[in-house]
Amino acid sequence: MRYFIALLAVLAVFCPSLALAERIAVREGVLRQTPSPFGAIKKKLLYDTEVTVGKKQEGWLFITAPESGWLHGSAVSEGKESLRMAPGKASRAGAVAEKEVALAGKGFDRNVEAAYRKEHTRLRYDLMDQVEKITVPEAEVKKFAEANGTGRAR
Amino acid sequence: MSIRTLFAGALLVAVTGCVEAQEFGKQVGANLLAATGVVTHEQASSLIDASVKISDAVQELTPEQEHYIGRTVGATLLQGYPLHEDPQATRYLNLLGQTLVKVSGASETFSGYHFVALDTNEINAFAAPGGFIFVTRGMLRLCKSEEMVAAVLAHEIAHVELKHGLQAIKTSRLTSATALLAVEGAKSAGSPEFRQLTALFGESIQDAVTTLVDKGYSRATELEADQTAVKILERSGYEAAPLLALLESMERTSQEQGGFAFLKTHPAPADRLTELRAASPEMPVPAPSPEWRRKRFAAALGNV
Repeated sequence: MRYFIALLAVLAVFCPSLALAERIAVREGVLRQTPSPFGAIKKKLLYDTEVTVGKKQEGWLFITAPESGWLHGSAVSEGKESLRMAPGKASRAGAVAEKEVALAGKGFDRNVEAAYRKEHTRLRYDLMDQVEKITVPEAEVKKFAEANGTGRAR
Repeated sequence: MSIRTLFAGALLVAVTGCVEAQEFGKQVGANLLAATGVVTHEQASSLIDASVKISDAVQELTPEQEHYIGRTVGATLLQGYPLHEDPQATRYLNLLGQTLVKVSGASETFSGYHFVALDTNEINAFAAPGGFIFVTRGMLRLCKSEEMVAAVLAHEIAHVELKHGLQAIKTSRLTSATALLAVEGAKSAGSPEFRQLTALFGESIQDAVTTLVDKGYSRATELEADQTAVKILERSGYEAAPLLALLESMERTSQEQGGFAFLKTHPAPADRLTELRAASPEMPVPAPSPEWRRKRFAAALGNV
Protein backbone atom coordinates (compact mmCIF):
# COMPACT_ATOMS: atom_id res chain seq x y z
CA MET A 1 0.00 0.00 0.00
CA ARG A 2 2.77 2.43 0.93
CA TYR A 3 4.33 1.79 -2.50
CA PHE A 4 1.03 2.63 -4.17
CA ILE A 5 0.64 5.86 -2.22
CA ALA A 6 4.22 6.85 -2.99
CA LEU A 7 3.66 6.14 -6.71
CA LEU A 8 0.55 8.32 -6.71
CA ALA A 9 2.52 11.08 -5.04
CA VAL A 10 5.21 10.86 -7.70
CA LEU A 11 2.66 10.91 -10.52
CA ALA A 12 1.04 13.96 -8.97
CA VAL A 13 4.42 15.70 -8.97
CA PHE A 14 5.43 14.77 -12.48
CA CYS A 15 2.42 14.35 -14.70
CA PRO A 16 1.27 16.91 -17.22
CA SER A 17 -2.22 17.74 -16.03
CA LEU A 18 -0.83 20.35 -13.67
CA ALA A 19 -0.04 23.89 -14.74
CA LEU A 20 3.53 23.88 -16.02
CA ALA A 21 6.05 26.41 -17.20
CA GLU A 22 7.05 25.67 -20.79
CA ARG A 23 8.64 27.65 -23.57
CA ILE A 24 7.78 28.69 -27.08
CA ALA A 25 9.83 26.41 -29.33
CA VAL A 26 9.13 28.07 -32.68
CA ARG A 27 10.09 31.52 -34.03
CA GLU A 28 6.59 32.83 -33.45
CA GLY A 29 3.97 30.94 -31.47
CA VAL A 30 0.49 32.10 -32.43
CA LEU A 31 -1.76 32.70 -29.44
CA ARG A 32 -5.41 32.36 -30.43
CA GLN A 33 -8.71 33.13 -28.77
CA THR A 34 -10.08 29.68 -29.52
CA PRO A 35 -8.48 26.25 -30.00
CA SER A 36 -8.97 26.35 -33.74
CA PRO A 37 -6.55 26.62 -36.70
CA PHE A 38 -8.07 29.93 -37.79
CA GLY A 39 -9.10 31.21 -34.35
CA ALA A 40 -8.63 34.97 -33.94
CA ILE A 41 -5.00 35.82 -33.24
CA LYS A 42 -4.46 37.50 -29.86
CA LYS A 43 -0.72 37.80 -29.97
CA LYS A 44 2.44 36.26 -31.39
CA LEU A 45 4.82 34.95 -28.75
CA LEU A 46 8.48 34.92 -29.65
CA TYR A 47 10.82 31.95 -29.42
CA ASP A 48 11.83 31.01 -25.87
CA THR A 49 9.03 32.99 -24.19
CA GLU A 50 8.01 31.20 -21.02
CA VAL A 51 4.36 30.22 -20.93
CA THR A 52 2.22 28.63 -18.24
CA VAL A 53 0.23 25.74 -19.59
CA GLY A 54 -3.13 24.91 -18.08
CA LYS A 55 -5.56 22.53 -19.73
CA LYS A 56 -5.11 20.65 -22.99
CA GLN A 57 -7.70 20.01 -25.66
CA GLU A 58 -7.23 17.99 -28.85
CA GLY A 59 -3.66 19.05 -29.48
CA TRP A 60 -4.17 22.61 -28.19
CA LEU A 61 -2.85 24.07 -24.96
CA PHE A 62 -4.62 26.74 -22.95
CA ILE A 63 -2.00 29.02 -21.46
CA THR A 64 -2.57 31.37 -18.60
CA ALA A 65 0.62 33.44 -18.81
CA PRO A 66 2.05 35.74 -20.11
CA GLU A 67 -1.47 36.12 -21.49
CA SER A 68 -4.36 33.71 -21.65
CA GLY A 69 -5.20 32.02 -24.91
CA TRP A 70 -4.69 28.89 -26.98
CA LEU A 71 -1.47 27.68 -28.56
CA HIS A 72 -1.09 24.66 -30.79
CA GLY A 73 0.88 21.99 -28.92
CA SER A 74 3.51 21.87 -31.67
CA ALA A 75 4.53 25.46 -30.83
CA VAL A 76 5.53 24.58 -27.29
CA SER A 77 8.51 22.55 -26.17
CA GLU A 78 6.57 20.42 -23.74
CA GLY A 79 8.99 18.69 -21.46
CA LYS A 80 12.18 19.25 -23.38
CA GLU A 81 12.99 22.64 -22.01
CA SER A 82 11.16 22.25 -18.75
CA LEU A 83 14.40 20.84 -17.40
CA ARG A 84 16.05 24.19 -17.95
CA MET A 85 17.80 25.67 -15.00
CA ALA A 86 20.08 28.56 -14.42
CA PRO A 87 23.37 27.75 -16.15
CA GLY A 88 26.10 27.05 -13.68
CA LYS A 89 23.84 25.69 -10.99
CA ALA A 90 25.96 22.89 -9.69
CA SER A 91 24.64 19.44 -9.07
CA ARG A 92 25.18 16.03 -10.49
CA ALA A 93 21.82 16.10 -12.18
CA GLY A 94 22.65 19.64 -13.21
CA ALA A 95 24.82 18.16 -15.92
CA VAL A 96 21.69 16.87 -17.59
CA ALA A 97 19.93 20.18 -17.19
CA GLU A 98 22.97 21.80 -18.76
CA LYS A 99 22.56 19.44 -21.73
CA GLU A 100 18.93 20.38 -21.99
CA VAL A 101 19.78 24.06 -22.04
CA ALA A 102 22.38 23.31 -24.69
CA LEU A 103 19.91 21.28 -26.73
CA ALA A 104 17.35 24.01 -26.46
CA GLY A 105 19.53 26.86 -27.54
CA LYS A 106 22.74 25.40 -28.94
CA GLY A 107 22.86 21.92 -30.43
CA PHE A 108 22.44 21.85 -34.19
CA ASP A 109 21.83 25.56 -34.56
CA ARG A 110 22.80 28.38 -36.91
CA ASN A 111 26.38 28.39 -35.61
CA VAL A 112 26.76 24.73 -36.52
CA GLU A 113 25.12 25.43 -39.88
CA ALA A 114 27.54 28.31 -40.49
CA ALA A 115 30.54 26.10 -39.71
CA TYR A 116 29.23 23.30 -41.93
CA ARG A 117 28.47 25.80 -44.67
CA LYS A 118 32.07 27.03 -44.70
CA GLU A 119 33.23 23.50 -45.45
CA HIS A 120 30.51 22.78 -48.02
CA THR A 121 30.38 25.84 -50.23
CA ARG A 122 28.44 24.13 -53.01
CA LEU A 123 25.33 23.55 -50.91
CA ARG A 124 22.47 25.78 -52.02
CA TYR A 125 21.73 27.66 -48.81
CA ASP A 126 21.05 30.67 -51.03
CA LEU A 127 18.04 28.83 -52.47
CA MET A 128 16.96 27.65 -49.01
CA ASP A 129 16.98 31.28 -47.85
CA GLN A 130 14.69 32.01 -50.79
CA VAL A 131 12.44 29.04 -49.93
CA GLU A 132 12.20 30.14 -46.31
CA LYS A 133 10.91 33.54 -47.37
CA ILE A 134 7.90 31.98 -49.10
CA THR A 135 4.82 32.73 -47.04
CA VAL A 136 1.14 33.30 -47.68
CA PRO A 137 -1.04 35.50 -45.45
CA GLU A 138 -3.26 33.57 -43.05
CA ALA A 139 -6.33 35.46 -44.33
CA GLU A 140 -5.73 34.03 -47.80
CA VAL A 141 -5.19 30.51 -46.46
CA LYS A 142 -8.46 30.87 -44.53
CA LYS A 143 -10.29 31.93 -47.69
CA PHE A 144 -8.77 29.02 -49.60
CA ALA A 145 -9.73 26.58 -46.83
CA GLU A 146 -13.24 27.98 -46.47
CA ALA A 147 -13.92 27.22 -50.09
CA ASN A 148 -13.34 23.56 -49.15
CA GLY A 149 -15.89 23.84 -46.39
CA THR A 150 -13.27 24.03 -43.66
CA GLY A 151 -11.39 26.83 -41.98
CA ARG A 152 -14.28 28.76 -40.51
CA ALA A 153 -12.99 30.31 -37.32
CA ARG A 154 -14.87 29.24 -34.25
CA MET B 1 10.29 -10.36 -9.56
CA SER B 2 9.56 -8.79 -6.19
CA ILE B 3 7.02 -6.10 -5.55
CA ARG B 4 9.90 -3.76 -4.76
CA THR B 5 11.42 -4.35 -8.18
CA LEU B 6 8.06 -3.85 -9.85
CA PHE B 7 7.50 -0.68 -7.89
CA ALA B 8 10.96 0.61 -8.74
CA GLY B 9 10.27 -0.05 -12.42
CA ALA B 10 6.91 1.70 -12.27
CA LEU B 11 8.48 4.61 -10.46
CA LEU B 12 11.21 4.92 -13.06
CA VAL B 13 8.64 4.89 -15.85
CA ALA B 14 6.57 7.49 -14.04
CA VAL B 15 9.54 9.74 -13.44
CA THR B 16 11.09 9.49 -16.88
CA GLY B 17 7.86 9.15 -18.85
CA CYS B 18 6.42 12.42 -17.65
CA VAL B 19 8.77 14.68 -19.48
CA GLU B 20 7.54 17.81 -17.74
CA ALA B 21 9.58 16.79 -14.74
CA GLN B 22 11.46 19.67 -13.23
CA GLU B 23 14.85 19.48 -11.55
CA PHE B 24 13.02 19.36 -8.26
CA GLY B 25 10.97 16.47 -9.48
CA LYS B 26 14.05 14.57 -10.58
CA GLN B 27 15.52 14.87 -7.13
CA VAL B 28 12.26 13.74 -5.53
CA GLY B 29 12.10 10.85 -7.98
CA ALA B 30 15.65 9.80 -7.21
CA ASN B 31 14.94 9.98 -3.47
CA LEU B 32 11.76 7.95 -3.74
CA LEU B 33 13.36 5.42 -6.06
CA ALA B 34 16.25 5.03 -3.65
CA ALA B 35 13.76 4.71 -0.77
CA THR B 36 12.49 1.45 -2.25
CA GLY B 37 15.82 -0.06 -1.28
CA VAL B 38 16.22 -1.64 -4.72
CA VAL B 39 18.86 0.84 -5.83
CA THR B 40 21.08 3.39 -4.13
CA HIS B 41 20.42 7.11 -4.48
CA GLU B 42 23.41 7.37 -6.80
CA GLN B 43 22.13 4.53 -8.98
CA ALA B 44 18.64 6.06 -9.01
CA SER B 45 20.03 9.39 -10.23
CA SER B 46 22.03 7.63 -12.93
CA LEU B 47 18.99 5.69 -14.12
CA ILE B 48 16.90 8.83 -14.36
CA ASP B 49 19.68 10.77 -16.08
CA ALA B 50 20.31 8.00 -18.58
CA SER B 51 16.63 7.70 -19.45
CA VAL B 52 16.32 11.45 -19.97
CA LYS B 53 19.45 11.48 -22.16
CA ILE B 54 18.31 8.67 -24.45
CA SER B 55 14.83 10.08 -24.79
CA ASP B 56 16.14 13.53 -25.67
CA ALA B 57 18.81 12.32 -28.04
CA VAL B 58 16.61 10.05 -30.11
CA GLN B 59 13.18 11.60 -30.05
CA GLU B 60 13.35 14.99 -28.49
CA LEU B 61 15.24 17.17 -30.92
CA THR B 62 13.87 20.68 -30.56
CA PRO B 63 11.98 22.30 -33.45
CA GLU B 64 14.97 24.65 -33.84
CA GLN B 65 17.38 21.77 -34.37
CA GLU B 66 14.92 20.07 -36.68
CA HIS B 67 14.78 23.30 -38.68
CA TYR B 68 18.55 23.54 -39.09
CA ILE B 69 18.78 19.88 -40.07
CA GLY B 70 15.96 20.45 -42.60
CA ARG B 71 17.61 23.55 -44.07
CA THR B 72 20.82 21.69 -44.76
CA VAL B 73 18.99 18.64 -46.13
CA GLY B 74 17.19 21.06 -48.47
CA ALA B 75 20.42 22.86 -49.42
CA THR B 76 21.92 19.48 -50.30
CA LEU B 77 18.89 18.46 -52.33
CA LEU B 78 18.88 21.75 -54.24
CA GLN B 79 22.39 21.08 -55.52
CA GLY B 80 20.75 18.66 -57.93
CA TYR B 81 17.40 20.31 -58.61
CA PRO B 82 16.73 23.88 -59.72
CA LEU B 83 13.68 25.64 -58.29
CA HIS B 84 10.71 26.09 -60.60
CA GLU B 85 10.36 29.86 -60.53
CA ASP B 86 6.65 30.37 -61.11
CA PRO B 87 5.09 32.75 -58.55
CA GLN B 88 1.53 31.69 -59.35
CA ALA B 89 2.28 27.98 -58.94
CA THR B 90 4.31 28.65 -55.78
CA ARG B 91 1.52 30.71 -54.23
CA TYR B 92 -1.04 28.01 -55.06
CA LEU B 93 1.12 25.23 -53.62
CA ASN B 94 1.57 27.23 -50.43
CA LEU B 95 -2.13 28.08 -50.05
CA LEU B 96 -3.04 24.46 -50.58
CA GLY B 97 -0.18 23.22 -48.42
CA GLN B 98 -0.97 25.57 -45.52
CA THR B 99 -4.64 24.52 -45.67
CA LEU B 100 -3.48 20.97 -45.03
CA VAL B 101 -0.83 21.92 -42.47
CA LYS B 102 -3.48 23.70 -40.38
CA VAL B 103 -5.21 20.40 -39.65
CA SER B 104 -2.08 18.29 -39.29
CA GLY B 105 -0.74 17.18 -35.94
CA ALA B 106 2.35 19.38 -36.31
CA SER B 107 0.91 22.63 -37.62
CA GLU B 108 3.71 24.76 -36.19
CA THR B 109 7.35 24.15 -36.94
CA PHE B 110 10.25 26.45 -36.11
CA SER B 111 9.95 28.57 -39.27
CA GLY B 112 6.69 27.19 -40.64
CA TYR B 113 6.12 25.07 -43.74
CA HIS B 114 7.32 26.10 -47.18
CA PHE B 115 6.27 24.41 -50.42
CA VAL B 116 8.20 24.67 -53.68
CA ALA B 117 8.20 23.04 -57.10
CA LEU B 118 11.43 21.66 -58.54
CA ASP B 119 12.17 22.21 -62.20
CA THR B 120 12.58 18.62 -63.33
CA ASN B 121 10.53 16.09 -65.25
CA GLU B 122 11.40 13.48 -62.67
CA ILE B 123 8.33 12.24 -60.77
CA ASN B 124 9.16 12.76 -57.13
CA ALA B 125 8.47 14.67 -53.92
CA PHE B 126 10.58 15.22 -50.80
CA ALA B 127 9.95 16.42 -47.27
CA ALA B 128 12.91 17.78 -45.32
CA PRO B 129 12.62 18.01 -41.52
CA GLY B 130 11.07 21.19 -40.20
CA GLY B 131 8.56 21.54 -43.03
CA PHE B 132 10.46 22.16 -46.27
CA ILE B 133 8.47 20.38 -48.97
CA PHE B 134 9.64 19.92 -52.55
CA VAL B 135 7.48 18.59 -55.38
CA THR B 136 8.82 18.08 -58.88
CA ARG B 137 7.09 19.44 -61.98
CA GLY B 138 6.93 15.82 -63.18
CA MET B 139 4.86 14.89 -60.13
CA LEU B 140 2.63 17.96 -60.52
CA ARG B 141 1.99 17.04 -64.17
CA LEU B 142 0.93 13.59 -63.05
CA CYS B 143 -1.71 15.21 -60.81
CA LYS B 144 -4.86 15.78 -62.82
CA SER B 145 -6.75 17.62 -60.09
CA GLU B 146 -6.27 19.75 -56.98
CA GLU B 147 -7.31 16.75 -54.92
CA MET B 148 -4.36 14.77 -56.28
CA VAL B 149 -1.91 17.60 -55.51
CA ALA B 150 -3.43 17.74 -52.02
CA ALA B 151 -2.76 14.00 -51.66
CA VAL B 152 0.92 14.48 -52.59
CA LEU B 153 1.35 17.38 -50.16
CA ALA B 154 -0.55 15.61 -47.37
CA HIS B 155 1.76 12.60 -47.71
CA GLU B 156 4.83 14.83 -47.44
CA ILE B 157 3.38 16.80 -44.50
CA ALA B 158 2.79 13.44 -42.82
CA HIS B 159 6.51 12.63 -43.15
CA VAL B 160 7.29 15.90 -41.33
CA GLU B 161 4.63 15.34 -38.66
CA LEU B 162 5.88 11.81 -38.01
CA LYS B 163 9.51 13.00 -38.01
CA HIS B 164 10.52 10.34 -40.52
CA GLY B 165 13.45 12.42 -41.77
CA LEU B 166 14.88 12.65 -38.27
CA GLN B 167 14.33 8.98 -37.65
CA ALA B 168 16.61 8.27 -40.62
CA ILE B 169 19.51 9.68 -38.58
CA LYS B 170 21.52 7.08 -36.73
CA THR B 171 20.72 7.22 -33.03
CA SER B 172 24.41 7.07 -32.14
CA ARG B 173 25.01 10.43 -33.83
CA LEU B 174 22.34 12.13 -31.76
CA THR B 175 23.44 10.54 -28.50
CA SER B 176 27.04 11.56 -29.29
CA ALA B 177 25.88 15.11 -29.99
CA THR B 178 23.97 15.16 -26.69
CA ALA B 179 27.02 13.92 -24.82
CA LEU B 180 29.19 16.56 -26.48
CA LEU B 181 26.82 19.33 -25.50
CA ALA B 182 27.52 18.61 -21.87
CA VAL B 183 31.04 19.85 -22.50
CA GLU B 184 31.35 23.59 -22.14
CA GLY B 185 33.75 23.76 -25.10
CA ALA B 186 31.07 22.52 -27.52
CA LYS B 187 29.51 25.96 -27.36
CA SER B 188 32.63 27.78 -28.55
CA ALA B 189 33.08 27.87 -32.31
CA GLY B 190 36.51 26.57 -33.24
CA SER B 191 36.89 24.29 -30.22
CA PRO B 192 37.56 20.57 -30.86
CA GLU B 193 34.15 19.77 -29.36
CA PHE B 194 32.41 22.24 -31.66
CA ARG B 195 34.22 20.70 -34.64
CA GLN B 196 33.03 17.27 -33.52
CA LEU B 197 29.49 18.60 -33.19
CA THR B 198 29.71 20.01 -36.73
CA ALA B 199 31.00 16.66 -38.00
CA LEU B 200 28.08 14.87 -36.31
CA PHE B 201 25.73 17.40 -37.93
CA GLY B 202 27.22 16.57 -41.34
CA GLU B 203 26.88 12.84 -40.75
CA SER B 204 23.27 13.32 -39.63
CA ILE B 205 22.52 15.26 -42.82
CA GLN B 206 24.11 12.50 -44.86
CA ASP B 207 21.90 9.88 -43.15
CA ALA B 208 18.76 11.90 -43.88
CA VAL B 209 19.69 12.72 -47.51
CA THR B 210 20.70 9.13 -48.27
CA THR B 211 17.31 7.93 -47.09
CA LEU B 212 15.42 10.66 -48.93
CA VAL B 213 17.25 10.40 -52.25
CA ASP B 214 18.76 6.92 -52.45
CA LYS B 215 17.47 4.36 -50.01
CA GLY B 216 13.95 5.56 -49.31
CA TYR B 217 11.86 4.91 -46.24
CA SER B 218 10.68 1.45 -45.30
CA ARG B 219 7.39 0.17 -46.59
CA ALA B 220 5.92 0.46 -43.09
CA THR B 221 7.05 4.11 -42.86
CA GLU B 222 5.45 4.95 -46.22
CA LEU B 223 2.22 3.25 -45.20
CA GLU B 224 2.24 5.22 -41.96
CA ALA B 225 2.62 8.43 -43.99
CA ASP B 226 -0.20 7.36 -46.33
CA GLN B 227 -2.51 6.69 -43.41
CA THR B 228 -1.69 10.01 -41.76
CA ALA B 229 -2.20 11.73 -45.13
CA VAL B 230 -5.70 10.23 -45.29
CA LYS B 231 -6.52 11.80 -41.91
CA ILE B 232 -5.11 15.19 -42.97
CA LEU B 233 -7.10 15.13 -46.22
CA GLU B 234 -10.34 14.21 -44.49
CA ARG B 235 -9.93 16.92 -41.84
CA SER B 236 -9.19 19.55 -44.46
CA GLY B 237 -12.33 18.98 -46.51
CA TYR B 238 -10.67 17.02 -49.31
CA GLU B 239 -11.58 13.44 -49.99
CA ALA B 240 -8.86 10.94 -49.30
CA ALA B 241 -9.78 8.82 -52.30
CA PRO B 242 -7.65 10.88 -54.75
CA LEU B 243 -4.61 9.48 -52.94
CA LEU B 244 -5.67 6.11 -54.36
CA ALA B 245 -6.19 7.71 -57.77
CA LEU B 246 -2.70 9.21 -57.55
CA LEU B 247 -1.17 5.85 -56.68
CA GLU B 248 -3.06 4.23 -59.57
CA SER B 249 -1.76 6.92 -61.92
CA MET B 250 1.78 6.35 -60.66
CA GLU B 251 1.39 2.62 -61.14
CA ARG B 252 0.21 3.12 -64.75
CA THR B 253 3.06 5.54 -65.47
CA SER B 254 5.62 3.19 -64.00
CA GLN B 255 4.37 0.39 -66.24
CA GLU B 256 4.39 2.62 -69.32
CA GLN B 257 7.77 4.20 -68.64
CA GLY B 258 9.44 1.20 -67.04
CA GLY B 259 9.81 2.80 -63.66
CA PHE B 260 10.96 6.23 -62.51
CA ALA B 261 13.07 7.84 -59.79
CA PHE B 262 10.24 7.85 -57.27
CA LEU B 263 10.13 4.06 -57.35
CA LYS B 264 13.76 3.89 -56.28
CA THR B 265 12.82 5.36 -52.91
CA HIS B 266 9.20 4.29 -52.51
CA PRO B 267 7.39 0.95 -52.42
CA ALA B 268 5.55 0.03 -55.65
CA PRO B 269 2.35 2.09 -55.96
CA ALA B 270 0.38 -1.14 -56.43
CA ASP B 271 1.62 -2.39 -53.04
CA ARG B 272 0.79 0.93 -51.37
CA LEU B 273 -2.67 0.82 -52.97
CA THR B 274 -3.29 -2.67 -51.63
CA GLU B 275 -2.15 -1.74 -48.14
CA LEU B 276 -4.03 1.56 -48.07
CA ARG B 277 -7.23 -0.11 -49.31
CA ALA B 278 -6.86 -2.76 -46.63
CA ALA B 279 -6.31 -0.07 -43.98
CA SER B 280 -9.16 2.14 -45.22
CA PRO B 281 -11.81 -0.23 -46.61
CA GLU B 282 -14.54 2.41 -46.39
CA MET B 283 -12.82 4.86 -48.72
CA PRO B 284 -15.32 5.83 -51.44
CA VAL B 285 -14.70 6.25 -55.15
CA PRO B 286 -13.40 9.81 -55.77
CA ALA B 287 -16.12 12.32 -56.59
CA PRO B 288 -15.48 14.65 -59.54
CA SER B 289 -13.68 17.86 -58.63
CA PRO B 290 -16.10 20.82 -58.38
CA GLU B 291 -15.96 23.40 -61.15
CA TRP B 292 -14.51 26.22 -58.99
CA ARG B 293 -11.74 23.94 -57.80
CA ARG B 294 -10.95 22.76 -61.33
CA LYS B 295 -10.67 26.40 -62.38
CA ARG B 296 -8.21 27.43 -59.67
CA PHE B 297 -6.17 24.28 -60.25
CA ALA B 298 -5.97 24.95 -64.00
CA ALA B 299 -5.14 28.63 -63.46
CA ALA B 300 -2.25 27.81 -61.14
CA LEU B 301 -0.82 24.57 -62.48
CA GLY B 302 -2.30 24.36 -65.98
CA ASN B 303 1.08 25.12 -67.54
CA VAL B 304 3.36 23.47 -65.06
